[in-house]
Amino acid sequence: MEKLITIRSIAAPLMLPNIDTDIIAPMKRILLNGDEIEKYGFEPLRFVDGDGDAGILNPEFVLNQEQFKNAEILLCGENFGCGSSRENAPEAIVGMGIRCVIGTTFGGIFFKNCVNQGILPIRLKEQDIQELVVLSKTGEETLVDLENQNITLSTGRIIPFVIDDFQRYLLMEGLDNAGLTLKKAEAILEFEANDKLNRPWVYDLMERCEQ
Amino acid sequence: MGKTIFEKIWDIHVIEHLPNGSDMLHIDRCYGHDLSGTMAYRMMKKQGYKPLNPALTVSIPDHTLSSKAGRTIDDTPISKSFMPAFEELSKEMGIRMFGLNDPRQGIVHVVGPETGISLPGMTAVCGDSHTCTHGALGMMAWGVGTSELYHVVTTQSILVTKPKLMQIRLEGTRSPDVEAMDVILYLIAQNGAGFGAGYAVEFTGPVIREMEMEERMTICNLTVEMGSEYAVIEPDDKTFDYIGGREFAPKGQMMEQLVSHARQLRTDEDAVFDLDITIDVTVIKPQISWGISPEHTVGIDEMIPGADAVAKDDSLQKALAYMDFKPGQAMLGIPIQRVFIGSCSNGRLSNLLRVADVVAGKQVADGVEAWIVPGSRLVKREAERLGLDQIFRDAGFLWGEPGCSLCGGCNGERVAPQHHCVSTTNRNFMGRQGPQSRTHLVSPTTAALAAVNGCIVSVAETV
Repeated sequence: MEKLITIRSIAAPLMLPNIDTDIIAPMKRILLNGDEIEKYGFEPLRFVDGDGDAGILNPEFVLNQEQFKNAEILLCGENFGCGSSRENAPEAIVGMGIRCVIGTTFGGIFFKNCVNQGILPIRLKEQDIQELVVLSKTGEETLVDLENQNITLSTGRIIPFVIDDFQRYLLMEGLDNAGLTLKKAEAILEFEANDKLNRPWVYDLMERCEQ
Repeated sequence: MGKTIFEKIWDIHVIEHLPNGSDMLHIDRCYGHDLSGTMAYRMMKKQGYKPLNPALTVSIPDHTLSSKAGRTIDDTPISKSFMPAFEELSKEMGIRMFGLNDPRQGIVHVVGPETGISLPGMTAVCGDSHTCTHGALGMMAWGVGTSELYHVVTTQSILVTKPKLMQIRLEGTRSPDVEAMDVILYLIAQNGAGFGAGYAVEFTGPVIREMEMEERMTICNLTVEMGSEYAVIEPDDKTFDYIGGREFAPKGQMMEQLVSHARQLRTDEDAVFDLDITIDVTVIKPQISWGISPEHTVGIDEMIPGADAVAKDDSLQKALAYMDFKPGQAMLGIPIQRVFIGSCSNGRLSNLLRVADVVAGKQVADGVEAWIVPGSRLVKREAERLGLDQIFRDAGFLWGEPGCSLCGGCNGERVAPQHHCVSTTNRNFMGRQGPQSRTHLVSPTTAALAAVNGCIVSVAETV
């Protein structure tokens, strides 16, 4: 995973609410084109008739527009990434060159999956997002600074944002957190040993029953 | 100040408080399915990791398997590509598997509760957003992505920040034709698909207490369609009766110990929620979705939003264009081509009994392809013992083999472009049941009525 510290880019507005992970990463494509999911990201919106095989780009889709083609920041409508837990959704987004998604609310699982795929998800107030949407049409770039947790608009205004320290650390260091947690394996096993006395049913049958 | 059940379950699972305000929690049950499980096990293998406690993880294939009788893993290109690795990696890691021919195979969220692997007071995760279903047993259960699943299977723990807490109290009297599916669809339609984002939802009130366990599972299952990753219902006598005698549930004294532990998990009277809402279910009618989000739902005898509402809302325009509907159109009478009854929302025995009541002695309408796919092999055996399969076959339904089937089309089974599918599942997203497919979410009874009438009809019309 690439380390992420600052992003300077134009921001592309995709303001439809409730864009779900089936739209972002259609199951058909996960199964048939799993290794190149970015080619089919947002298939139902990105291609005419939602048909990625015919491959005719829908000019209404923001990332197909000349001005936004190379955007690394995506401005999203509410509840972006709702639905299925599939991590192929942020994988498709990062494969399309997006490193930061900004919205009012996100699907909860999607939000965490973004961090694990090296995308910075930022929650902002509706009015701040509206300002970003207006500014996006000017062609000016926005600066997102993860270390200092703020966004500098092209007008010079600075908007602070909050992200969990641990998620920020993972994004900045590009770490595999299972490896970090495994260093605490002894504490986990000790927890289980004590827990077994209080809640034996959690362990007993699973460890005993024949497989 | 008192605590809610969610906080109590959280607290007993804390291994370590992390300096950033989140916690490292123990995970009691981890479910791997054939898609996300395979992907997570592959990541582990690549890193050279083994599960810290393999006994607490179970592998259950459900997403990629064919629904056809006599199926093998070679029947779909998808199961052919995933199943061998899923089986091999599970074996290599010492993870128990309920494979294709195991009598316990089925959809993870049907199998977990009915085998007694999921029990009150536990934490559970699966690489599947509908893991919130298990919350009906009084658990903290939620869906995770592949990277988090890999973390959990490897370390038996997860790093997580406590969500805010919401209470949804259900009061009033349900009309007899209103099923659990109608209640939760109504809640989503009223409050929106993103309403619960950032919250864990506890369902309380007399209506929940009166509901049977399988109805509670339907309620919890669709809570994620309201934006909440977690749903929970306090365990009560119905919960304990449900668990009793199941294969992996404790017996004798250990069961008594579990019951007394679970009784302490109830939400204290002085516990405080971040948000409290009360819903009177008396006003609820059978529901049906008309658009491309579960929040696009109306009473079955109502109209879809009119021209004024549509004019000022891009997302409604998108939904209407996709579904090829006109503003203000009535739902009743819309012709349909497919019916799908099953899934982790409504694929349990009580759901199939409702369907049998409607379709016994009737015929699936001409031009309609109608499937009933039981949620698990146990549900299938029970249904067959009661002769339901014969009723369904006689009526012209396909009686399928257990799995997720047409819900998300992960096994390659699809609804044809532009076809309307009345479905007891939980998502009507664009392309979910196949490219350009048009899904209508409904209760099992409404789906059964549509199958035999060839169009959308209400119970009221048929009485």
